[in-house]
Amino acid sequence: MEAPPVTMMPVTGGTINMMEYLLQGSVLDHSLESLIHRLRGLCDNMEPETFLDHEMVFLLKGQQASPFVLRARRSMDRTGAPWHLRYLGQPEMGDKNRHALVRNCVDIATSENLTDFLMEMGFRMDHEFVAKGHLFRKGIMKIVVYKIFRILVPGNTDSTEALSLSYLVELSVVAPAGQDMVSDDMRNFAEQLKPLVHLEKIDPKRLM
Amino acid sequence: MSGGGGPCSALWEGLRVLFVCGSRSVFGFSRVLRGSPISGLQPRCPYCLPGFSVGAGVLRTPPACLGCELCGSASSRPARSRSRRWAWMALRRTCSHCPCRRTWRVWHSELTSAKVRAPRRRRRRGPTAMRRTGRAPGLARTRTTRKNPQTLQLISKKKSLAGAAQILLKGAERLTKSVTENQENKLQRDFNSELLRLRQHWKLRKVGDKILGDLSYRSAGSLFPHHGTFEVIKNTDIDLDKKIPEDYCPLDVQIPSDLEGSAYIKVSIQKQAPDIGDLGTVNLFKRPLPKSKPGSPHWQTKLEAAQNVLLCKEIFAQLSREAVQIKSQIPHIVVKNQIISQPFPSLQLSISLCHSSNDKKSQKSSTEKQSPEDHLYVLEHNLHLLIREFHKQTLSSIMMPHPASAPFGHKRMRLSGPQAFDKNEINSIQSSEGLLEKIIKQAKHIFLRSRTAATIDSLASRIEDPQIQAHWSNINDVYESSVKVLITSQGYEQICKSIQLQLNIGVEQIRVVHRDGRVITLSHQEQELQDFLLSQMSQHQVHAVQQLAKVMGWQVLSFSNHVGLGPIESIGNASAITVASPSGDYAISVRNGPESGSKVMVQFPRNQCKDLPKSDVLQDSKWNHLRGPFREVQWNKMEGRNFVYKMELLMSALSPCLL
Repeated sequence: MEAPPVTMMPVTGGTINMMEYLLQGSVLDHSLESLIHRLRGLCDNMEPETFLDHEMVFLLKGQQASPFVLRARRSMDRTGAPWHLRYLGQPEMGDKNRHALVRNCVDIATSENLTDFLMEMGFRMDHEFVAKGHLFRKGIMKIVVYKIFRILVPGNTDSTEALSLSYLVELSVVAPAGQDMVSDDMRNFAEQLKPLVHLEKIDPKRLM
Repeated sequence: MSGGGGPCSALWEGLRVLFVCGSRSVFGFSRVLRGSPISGLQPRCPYCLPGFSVGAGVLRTPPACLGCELCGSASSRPARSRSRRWAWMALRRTCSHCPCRRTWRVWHSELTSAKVRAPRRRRRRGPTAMRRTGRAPGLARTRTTRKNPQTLQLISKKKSLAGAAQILLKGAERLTKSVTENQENKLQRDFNSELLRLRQHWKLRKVGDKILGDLSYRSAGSLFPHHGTFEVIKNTDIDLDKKIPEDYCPLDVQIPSDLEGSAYIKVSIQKQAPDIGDLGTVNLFKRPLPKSKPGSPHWQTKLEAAQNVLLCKEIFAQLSREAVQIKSQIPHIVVKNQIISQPFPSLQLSISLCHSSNDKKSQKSSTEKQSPEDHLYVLEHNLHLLIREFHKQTLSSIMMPHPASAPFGHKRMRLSGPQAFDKNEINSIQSSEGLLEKIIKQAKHIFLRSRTAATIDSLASRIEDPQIQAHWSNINDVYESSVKVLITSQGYEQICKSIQLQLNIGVEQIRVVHRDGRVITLSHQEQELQDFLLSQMSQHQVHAVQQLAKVMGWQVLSFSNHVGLGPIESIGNASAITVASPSGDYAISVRNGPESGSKVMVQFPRNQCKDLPKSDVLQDSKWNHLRGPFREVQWNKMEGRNFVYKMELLMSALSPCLL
């Protein structure tokens, strides 16, 4: 049986054509406190929130060389929140004028039977992990500081193991395509976090 | 050699400078001078005083021993008088804790060197010469004195004194410098402490070599695009020599030019529509600038004023945006600094932004046009409350997304897809009433309330009988208030309590709740309420007769609130009652209409009617007790201050005394 045709082109037009601007960095565990303290001072005047998410990455392999990747994520500490399905496009490094990594992004809230639906569609789960950390916001910027945990037994989120001794720091903005101005704001914000953490645009291709 | 021209004049100058500098350490010198005025025209030193011999001189009049010559303490060693070296020992008569002992020593050593040279010369010249050089008045002076050694001595003395003076001058200079530096440091410290105080109240950040502050409401949830940045300036360039003004502050703030001056939002309701030419020409009334609170620094007042201007601008910008977006039956007009809306026909609500900068032009224009005070302060205050509520809403509506990768937004909105919300549910999430809609509703309510009050008051003053009383509730909602209306007759409040109305004044209409539970809804039209109250007042009179009949023991024969007979009233219906006397001989019939007024008729027994034709049917005398025809009472000629009192008199006149 042939795999269902899947368009590799992202959906464009309307409000769906959103881009994610991203800067990444990491801090060691012992510097987390000071980073959180700094972020509390810099970000919007809200109580800092923690999160505990479970993310599953699904692949759909068609005739094309690169598989189609979808990320399904659910909150483990908040009941009643919808699942989140996310498509992320190929990251573009851009030139020096753009200070953040840009990738196409489609966000959608779904019901909890998402995994079954994806499996039915022909997707296969590639890997899964648990992310636990802190969430901040400043205007439209979202700052997530989290640790990634490996799941020891597939499907069982209770037995996990930390992947590293550091926390991942991500500064992201989801904005309509072409608004490169936001990357300037992000750069300014990242400057204020130095030297606690150096947020840079990291090309995932180089890491592979 | 006393006086300003002496060799110690430079030394003296040094001392004087030290003294003027205010250093405590110099003060000891004044005692050496034995009270001679230090800043006087003729500075004198102990060595120039008559009777003193400086250098090789012989001392004739030793000064009295007064303890420490520098600080005046008595603990010092007494001077060895009669000694040849008295002058030097006298100078040493200082206590160990004298503050200027060091300076004194330096001075002393200089003088000692001068003195040491003198005996050498003396030895060279011999005892005669020594005697001749003395300057004490008792010594005989000879013409044969060799002038050369004397000149030499003078020169050496002058040199020594000049050296001592040099040291003193240097010290004085250093003191002057340190005093100036102290003052500068103090100013710097003041700036830093002021900056610290500023930081306690305002957000500051350093950009390059500037200190910038933020006076916008953005951190409180405002979305107004104005940056609201002010700059902190160091205000230390003042002349230290001149007198420092009282309100001097080493820290100053520079606010953006468009936020200078004072501003406020003016809300007013006008009855008639103005000419189209008058639109957008609202001028600022002269309003004194808010006085700074005692104790609060100058910059605080300045920043607060600027923040107020910013908030007023934000309110106005928000209102104008809504005025353009909202589609209403009568479109809102936005002209220049004014928004005009029509809440009710022939009534206009105007909201204007008055901003005065401190320049003379605006002040001039403000004095030209002094309009009457038609401010609706409540609404102006409420606008400020509403915008703050709006700010809070923007802050609180921001929910952190869960899972963390999800975009920001309302949680219910995100649930709308998975839970398949229908259009109504989605609309209910999205709909939110704007600032303008809320304020128009409030204005409508305020207007309706004031008009209701005016209607009741005018009726109460116009109509004396029956009386109308209004009891307003003190605590109201912004969209609803209530008033209790009682219609009574004077002197009969206890028995005539039939009409009690509760008026609930809303935004568009007035709901009247009757005592018996009937609910009547009146529109915003003034006439409706007036007619309703008039008909109620007319009914009250008939009700009062009914109550009175009960008290007086009369019988109610018939009662009707709405009589179908007689002339038609333009307002409501007439009501009527017929009561019979306890004996049944007499009957009173009252018809009261809101427009036609009251008409009272009395029915007499047939036997009292003389002009009644004899009927063939009613032969028996018992029929004479039947009541005959009605006769109208000339009510306005009746005695009594009001309707019920007159009725009471009438009833008592018609009921025979049983005793």
